[in-house]
Parts: sequence; C-alpha cells; structure tokens
Amino acid sequence: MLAKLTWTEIKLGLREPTVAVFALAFPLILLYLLLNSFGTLPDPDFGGVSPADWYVPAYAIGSIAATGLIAIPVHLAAYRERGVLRRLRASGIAAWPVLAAQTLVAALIVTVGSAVMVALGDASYELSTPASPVVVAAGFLLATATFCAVGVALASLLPTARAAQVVGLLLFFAMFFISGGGPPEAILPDGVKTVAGALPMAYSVDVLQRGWWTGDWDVTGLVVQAAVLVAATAVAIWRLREV
Amino acid sequence: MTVIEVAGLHRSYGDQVAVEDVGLEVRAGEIFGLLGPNGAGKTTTVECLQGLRRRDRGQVRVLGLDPERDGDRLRRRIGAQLQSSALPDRLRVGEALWLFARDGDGGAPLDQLGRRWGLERLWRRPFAKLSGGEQQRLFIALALVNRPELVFFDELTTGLDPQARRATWDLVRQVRDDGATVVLVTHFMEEAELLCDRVAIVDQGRVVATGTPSELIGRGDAGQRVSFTWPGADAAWLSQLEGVERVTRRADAVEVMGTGPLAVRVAAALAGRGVAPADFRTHHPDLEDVFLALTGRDLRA
Repeated sequence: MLAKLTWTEIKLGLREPTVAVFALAFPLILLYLLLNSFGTLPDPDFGGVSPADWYVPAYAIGSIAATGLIAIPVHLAAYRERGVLRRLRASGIAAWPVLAAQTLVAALIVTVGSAVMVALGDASYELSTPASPVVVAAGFLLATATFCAVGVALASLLPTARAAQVVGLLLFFAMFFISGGGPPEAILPDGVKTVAGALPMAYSVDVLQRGWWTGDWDVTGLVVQAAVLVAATAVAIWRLREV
Repeated sequence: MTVIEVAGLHRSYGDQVAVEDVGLEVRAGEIFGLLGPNGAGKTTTVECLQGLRRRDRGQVRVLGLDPERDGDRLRRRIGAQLQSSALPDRLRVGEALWLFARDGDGGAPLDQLGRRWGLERLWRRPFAKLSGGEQQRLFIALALVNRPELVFFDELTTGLDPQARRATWDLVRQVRDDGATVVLVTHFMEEAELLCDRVAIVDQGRVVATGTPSELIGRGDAGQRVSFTWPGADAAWLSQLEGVERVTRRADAVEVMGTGPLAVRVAAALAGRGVAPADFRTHHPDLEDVFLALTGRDLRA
C-alpha cells in the first residue's frame, strides 16, 4: 500500500508541482545570491568557515523546513478539507500510510534539492567535504522526519488548505532568516538569538553544520529535534483519530 | 443472518447531539434504508458503523466486529461511498481504481469493473473533470473494487438528474443481486420505497420506525385520502360513512381522509346517491406521509 501511495503521490506531485517547486527553488536561489555576495574565503563571522560551508548545510535544512512547513500542510490540509483522507480510510487505507507516503515524497524532494545545493557549492564556491558523512546524513534524516511531523501536525490542526498555507509560510519565514538562512548567528542581535533558540530550525542547522565542519554530534540539537518529533507525532495521532 | 447490530448508539459533537439513541438490525443480503431529513443523524450513524467516527456509547457489531477496535480489519471487508468526500483533482479514474484495489487483485478484474460501471471511456480522465454522475459511478466502482460483503451508500443520488438517479438505482440492485448487503442512506422517500427491502426512519437522532416500506405505509399511522369534485357536497353525510375521519371542502373540491378501504366505501356511497364525479382520485400514502404521521413534521422541511 505504501509503495502504491508513494508512486501515486509522485505522479500527482509532477502534475501539480507549484508548491514543491517553491520549496525547492526558493532556498536554492537565495543560496546562489548569498554565495555570490560573500565570496569564498573563511570568515570569522561564519565561525571561521567559508560562506559555502555555512550556507549549504543551512539551506539544506531550509529546503527541509519549507517542504515540511509549507508543502506538506497545504497538501494534507486540502486532503482533509475535501474528504480525501476519509475516502481513503473508508476503503481500508488508513491515514498513516498516506502520511508516510507524503513524508517519503518530501524526503525525495529535499534530497534532490540538497544534492543540487551541494553540487553548486562544490563546483563554484569551494565547499569542503563533510567531516563526518554519518553525522550529516543522520542530521539530515532527523530534520526531515521532524519537519515532516510538524507539517502533518499542522495539517491536522488547521481546517483548510488556505489556513495551512498562511500559517506554514509565517512559521517558515519566522524561522528561516534567524536560524542560519540569513545573517550568521555571530552577528545577530541577542534578542533575535533568543527567539531563534526557541524555534526548532536553528537546532537542525547546528547538527548539520557541526557534523559538516568537525564531525561532532550536537547532542542538544538532536535532543530538541527528537522532542519536537515526538510531540508533533503525538498531536497528529490524536487529531487524526477521525478524519 | 444478522450483518449489523446496533443498540443505544449515541454520539454528540460538543453539546450538539447528532445521534441520540439508534438501534438497528440489518440482515444479510438485503438493501436496508436509513431514511430521514438532513441533520437527522443518518451520516453520523453510518460513520460510526464504519469506525470512521467514535461513538460516545452504545453497542455496535458489524460483520461480527467492533468498528472502533477492529476498524482496519472491518473496513477491508466493507465498501463505502461517502456523502462528502473527494479524490485528488489530478488523480485519474484508472489510477484511482488501481490505488483502491487491494494488492494481489490483478488487472483483468479492474478492466471488468471499469466496463461494468461504464468507466472505460473515462479511464484517463482526472477526477476534477468528471461530472457528478461520473464521480458517483467511480465512487460506486471504488466501493466495490475489493468485492465487499457489506456496502454503504450515503446520499448516493443527491445532485443527480432523474435519469442518472434511475440508472444508479439499477446499479444498487445489481450490487445486492451479486450477494452483498447494502445500507442506503437517503432523504428521498421515493428512493427508499422503490429500492429498499427494509427501512429505518430516523428523526432527530432516533429511529422512529423500522419495517418494509409496505409495512410502514400499512401501519395505519398514515391515513388514506380520496378527492373529487362535488358541487354542493353533503359533507355531513360523507363524514358519517364508515372509516371516514375527516372531510374538508374548498369550493367544489372535496377531500376525504380516513382508514381502511376508504376509496371503495366512498365511491360506493357516492354511486348509491347518484353522484359520479369524473375526477375521483385516490391518494395512497407513501413514506412521506408515514414520516409526517410519526413525527408531525414534513420530511422536506
């Protein structure tokens, strides 16, 4: 069932790619602009690494957050609003494989997007190789799972696709520019740092950047994301008892 | 054999009670109708039977299972067309059937199903481009794709033109003739009367009567009625006739209400007095009259 649903979602996504394209293209275009603005030399404001080493992991998380916070809630809330989930459940297709298929498709999209970013950084901006591919891969997977779970929880709470779109965009932009997607943490004002510390995206960026630069596990980042993942999953399970 | 057993089913949304106290028994191989006005609690009832909604209290057994505890297992054995549901706009007819067909059911049965419900011409058409009737045909096909033992149809013909409605009724009969039990939710009296073997009349979250359509109509709750034109009618004499309960006159038009073989009695008495109205008409009560008699309210209100 999961394979059938995933294949169906891929086909549907290709037929109506607007939201996915936004989630992919927006971080990619910004990354290109930033890398062109900052050059390729290591910089103390970027924690002593090159702008590419700072921004490529941050924007990989950015595309994960955009997919999880915007694409998934809009798509799923529309399913809920129009009765697609009820229609499927009534025919013996439970909600969870539908959600799992969405998450798999999202993972596919962000993997493609991140691969393009890495290729861009590698080709023109002297992106270094990750110190620990294992930590980077784990951080990437955990962030994908976390933001997809948040997206599913959002869809389960919001009544319409339109509401999901507004809330998702707000949450995404609230996090994105202060959690690594904008100016580096070192030059952010203290108040903004505090806000970023209260939102999950900065932790996902930390895990990925640390793994990339030094190969160390950022335990705080892992724990915070795991907690968000569990909480969002609990909300989704509770809310989707009836669809 | 009993397929569905329900007793004391209750469900409310916040402080709004949707289903107050529903009891039902549906037997294998019948078309069972849940009939009542919009908001009577019919849809909530069948959603509880499918385990799509949780009940607040009451006993429910469907195919021997508890829909809440064994929901997934149950839903693999039943088929459903839901009142308000849709498919993704860009999902095509053939893809929908493929998606809903349980693994292991090969391609040939899908083609057969498509031909049977007249979908083969629409195979590559996206859901959003289907007409109302075509969508309903697809939903019926999807409900039947895994050969269910029990099928729920909720307001199947709402929004269809009369011709499509009649065609859909034939489809429902075919489903039953193939051996499935059918539960049909409707607010159309005519549909229930023509299609259902037994009917439960639902009003304000309760079942107010259950039986075959002719049992319900023949219970006597709903009276017989005859009407004719008789200038200078003798209303007092008419109301003395056996079985007559009420006589109303509007200008020359007379309407007589009562019970028993009313038409025969009134006609004979009129003939005996040498009165032979050309427009003598009898009105058989239908389920609409039964609903009015049982609840004091008009079904269409």
